[in-house]
Amino acid sequence: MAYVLLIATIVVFSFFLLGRHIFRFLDPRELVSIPKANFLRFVKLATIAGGRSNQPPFQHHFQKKALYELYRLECLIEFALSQSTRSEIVRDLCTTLLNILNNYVTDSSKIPNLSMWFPRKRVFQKWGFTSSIQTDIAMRTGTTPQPEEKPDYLFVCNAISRMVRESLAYLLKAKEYSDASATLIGIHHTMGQLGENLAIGEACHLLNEVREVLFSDENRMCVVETNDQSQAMSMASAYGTCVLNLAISASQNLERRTVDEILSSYADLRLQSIRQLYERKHPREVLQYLEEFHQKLLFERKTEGRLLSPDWFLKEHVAQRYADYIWHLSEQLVQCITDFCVQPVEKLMKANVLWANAELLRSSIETTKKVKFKIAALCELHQKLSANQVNKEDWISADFVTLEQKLQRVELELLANVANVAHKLTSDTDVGEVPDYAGIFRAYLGDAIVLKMGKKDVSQFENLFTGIFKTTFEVVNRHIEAKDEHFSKPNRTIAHDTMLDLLDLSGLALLFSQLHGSGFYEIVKRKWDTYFDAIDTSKQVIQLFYALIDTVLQLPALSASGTRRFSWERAFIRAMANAGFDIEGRMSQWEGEEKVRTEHTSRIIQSIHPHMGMIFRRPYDYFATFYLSERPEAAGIELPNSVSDCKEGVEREKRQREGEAGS
Amino acid sequence: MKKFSLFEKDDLVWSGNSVFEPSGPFLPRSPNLEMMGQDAGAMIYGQCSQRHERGGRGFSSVSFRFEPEDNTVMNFFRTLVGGQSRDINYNIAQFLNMIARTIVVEGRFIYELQIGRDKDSQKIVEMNFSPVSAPGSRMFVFGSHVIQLLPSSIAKEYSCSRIRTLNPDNTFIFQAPSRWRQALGKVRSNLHFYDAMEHCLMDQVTNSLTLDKQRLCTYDHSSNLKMLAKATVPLGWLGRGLFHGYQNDYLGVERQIRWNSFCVDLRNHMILSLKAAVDRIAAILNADCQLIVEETSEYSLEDVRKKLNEGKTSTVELVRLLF
Repeated sequence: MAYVLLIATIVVFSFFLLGRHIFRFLDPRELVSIPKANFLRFVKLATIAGGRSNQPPFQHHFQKKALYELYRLECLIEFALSQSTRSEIVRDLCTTLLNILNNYVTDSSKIPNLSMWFPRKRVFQKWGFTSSIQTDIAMRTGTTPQPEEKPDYLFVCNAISRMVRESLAYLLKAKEYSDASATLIGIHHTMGQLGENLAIGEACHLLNEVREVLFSDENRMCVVETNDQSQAMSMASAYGTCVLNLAISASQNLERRTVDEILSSYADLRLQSIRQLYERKHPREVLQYLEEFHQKLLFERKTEGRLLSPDWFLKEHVAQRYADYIWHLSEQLVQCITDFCVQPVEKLMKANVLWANAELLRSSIETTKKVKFKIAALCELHQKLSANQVNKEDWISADFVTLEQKLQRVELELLANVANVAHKLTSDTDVGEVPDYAGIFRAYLGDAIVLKMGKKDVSQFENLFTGIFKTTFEVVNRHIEAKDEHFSKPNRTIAHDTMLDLLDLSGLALLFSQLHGSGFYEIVKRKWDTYFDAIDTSKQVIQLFYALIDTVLQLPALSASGTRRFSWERAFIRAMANAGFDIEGRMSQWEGEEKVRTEHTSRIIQSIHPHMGMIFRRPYDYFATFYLSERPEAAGIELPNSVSDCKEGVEREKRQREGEAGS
Repeated sequence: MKKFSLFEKDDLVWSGNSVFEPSGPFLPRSPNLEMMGQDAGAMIYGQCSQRHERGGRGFSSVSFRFEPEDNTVMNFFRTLVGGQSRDINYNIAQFLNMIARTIVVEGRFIYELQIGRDKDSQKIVEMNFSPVSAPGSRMFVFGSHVIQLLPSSIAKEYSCSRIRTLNPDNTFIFQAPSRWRQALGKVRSNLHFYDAMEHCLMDQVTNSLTLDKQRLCTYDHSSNLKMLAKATVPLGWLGRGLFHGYQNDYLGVERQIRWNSFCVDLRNHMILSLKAAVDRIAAILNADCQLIVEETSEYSLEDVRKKLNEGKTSTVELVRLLF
């Protein structure tokens, strides 16, 4: 009996295990490891280390098997998408797909360019690049030059990107925003991996698919923000920093390599076998060229009986190819910012998406600023490689200055959007719930305005100034009308800083215009006039500003705004130095020292006597002296000490000079 | 009895041998060899004709003049080289162009100086260069002594001895300088073989196409070019840009230097023979006249090769220096 019971228990337990196992099959996450492992195995076999890299039938076989594994993965994704209640499965599958892509790009650089692993696609050629025979045939037959068969290096990336896109679209449609956000963070990490492997083509392709989903005509981000603001911002943040992650990791990969390390690849070209070339990690674009060059060296070896080409020639070719790659990479990164940052921002602007757009703008501007540094580093490496230049005609002329200007224009375009959106970001939001976008954007705008004044560039100045003006007065109005219950003491300090920033910028516009004879102050004055004409509380506003200037020392000396205002003043000092003034001059009251006089047609500039790179009056003092105190509403209001001192200083200088001229 | 001379006139008495009518079997043509000969001739023509209008810098250009100037010698010389122009440089350039082509294709070119005297006064009226050649004949050259072994058919036809010994004083041998002779011979035989093989291969491909055979013969252009490049290695001929996509710039310049070196040496060697001819004419006419050759070049091929190896000058600039 006991024996029968034992057997029955075992049977029941076995059925239980079997049942559990069957249910596990319903979870694609349990099955995905099989096609993943198979796929990566075939990739390894196709590499130069696989031993069959020079046998086209085997390569083709590996490709077919790998495509079959990708098809199995796609089936699993489709199955997961059909189960509407289990979004976490889709998210996990996406993570696995991105993991496969990471592993693939690590190994794919070891697969020879002409391997049959890469399926062939027919590419039509441009007229200018075809042979004369092709052109002749095309002209005679009235057709175009015949297409060429070229390896498709992105076929794996295409398949995986397509699956990720479908999954992401499903998650957004199903309003599973936390999973969608997690997928985007996974993509963000993948960008770093792709950049590390210098797989820029793959990265752009994946980003393009993601952009199509997030910023399609259906305005998915708009829907997300309506339903869940914080998730929308999280997604915008993850997406917005993808390009940054890509740029930083790609640039670091190149920066890590010394020039000698790069050039040492020339020794691999001397060998008869191509194998050694693929042992090192070169980007595909470089590999394509080096393999072609290696073929020419083999031709030389076979015809001449030995290799005649000297080391300097081989080194130059390696250096040239890397330099070209660095230049193209820099161009691609700038193009990425335009495609994946500026365009989505414009779409969100049109769709009136506020917070996600603010986050995307912030991350895009940060990306632009940091990519600028990275491009500078790449430019340095490019210059070092250019030292090996002998055949100058063969080198692509890399104009990094133009690229920097292009990046500057992109940043300006983003800032123009910031100017349009910044003032909307102060209302109806409790401090602490979301980042202080208004504060960040005011800083961006202020820096951009000062930079423009320094460069005497009036274009878009009005737009930028209007942006910061509107944003500031959102705060000012609140303070004056005292509607905001959050305006406790620390927040009031922030509001003071905001206003001082605006006054400081207005004062700088006055000083720069006086220094260069530019029209910044006219724009600023017009803006202020319009403002004062439109309000009834002009007197109160002026009183507020005077009070602010009077109490300026009570503010924290090292506040973020205070530090920024100091850097703006330094920009003005630099401009004075560039204009030929002695910014190290001594103070006139020092006895026995010769007075260094500032010669300028403007009375205001005449009155400024820099000493050791410093000026003694703040720009807002000048603005209060020459604009606020001149307004009719200011009549009867007592001037702050620093303003009256400033007025006195300018008058004194004027009298002194007139007296000297008379005598 | 058949007797034929291109220059024979009834009222003159000619010294020298008869010129045989070209007939009979010829060697199969080698298109690549002929192209190479044309290229060598064109380069030498460019260097000698003092005409740089095609953008070249006139690398190693040479000019000719007679010193002291003797119109009789100059006129006879002009007749010899067959030029129509008043410019002696141009006439010599044309002559050397033709000779260079022949040397590259056939290995050497032997001329016999024929002197036509008036029947009555025995005064020299005309001089001609007649090429010593007959189809199927063999030449034995020992220094300046040349023995021609004619085929029996020609000897019978012209009723002359099979063995002809040419007068060494009036025989001028144009051939490649000794340092290049072996290389030229090797390239010539290589190209004959290559062209014959290519001809057969193309025939096979055409036949397989027209006869609709199941297994088509294929023509591998790249491996054929590789063979052609290998065949011309000793002289460095560039195959009129055929190897452009297959070889790197360094090898291109290296071969160009080798080819220029061959052409310059060939030119200088031919000029030596030409000077000997002028000396002979002057001796016959009892005149004191010499052909003076002046070479103008700011740099030598060795300088160019040195620059190439130093790796400080671009290959484009070096190629410009070579023309």
